[in-house]
Amino acid sequence: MILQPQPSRTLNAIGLLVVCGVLIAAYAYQFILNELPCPLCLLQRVGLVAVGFGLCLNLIYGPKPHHYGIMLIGALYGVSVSVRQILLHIVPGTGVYGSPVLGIHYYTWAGICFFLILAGTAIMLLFEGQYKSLRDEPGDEKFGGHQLAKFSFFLMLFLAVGNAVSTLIECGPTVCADPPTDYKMIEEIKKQL
Amino acid sequence: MIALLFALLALAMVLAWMDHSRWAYFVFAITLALSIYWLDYHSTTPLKIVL
Repeated sequence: MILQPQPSRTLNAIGLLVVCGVLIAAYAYQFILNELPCPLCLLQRVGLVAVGFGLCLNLIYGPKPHHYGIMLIGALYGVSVSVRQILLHIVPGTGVYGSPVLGIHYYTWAGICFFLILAGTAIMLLFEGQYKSLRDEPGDEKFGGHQLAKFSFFLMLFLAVGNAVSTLIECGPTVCADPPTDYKMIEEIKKQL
Repeated sequence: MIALLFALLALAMVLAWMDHSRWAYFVFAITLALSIYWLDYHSTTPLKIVL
């Protein structure tokens, strides 16, 4: 099946924006509802950022099978974490973590997202024409001169750095509390004042 | 320290952006190994299901 490199880049940029949207939604729940993410919730976000890294490689260098491989590894890691958390709460009476979104808890949504990423990546791998290297051609620049690709890359980078900072504030420089009760570093600063 | 995982992935993205793709893959591999360690570390609660 034929898919040219530039339309493939556009699809990858849209995919990256969707991943960014999921991370922004997670942030919204964290700060608006004041629900602290548990360690497994944070590891699911790591899975999403790992998928984002694979998408970023596709945007910078053009689509390649090994970039999709990195996405698959990230999604497999993420789905492992979310399935582990779903199994923790799957038996009635074993409790839940966090508020449901449209009747489904965040870790279940994460599991659905990772399954969709796995399916989408497997489908994208089928299209061969996209692997023609544009970077080897004279005049081709980073991101293929694609503005949407640039925007989505920097948004993903911003969210990765933002998650590093917010996780550091929540967990401190050591092990994350399970379940978390407050932002550890803010409490430390309050104690010292 | 889960914050480090996000920081390493951000570093991998910056390295890829600066055309240091080999280093980016290397940092990603380290992140993956650390992520698996943290998943194992936080998976202590026994599951109440029969597998």
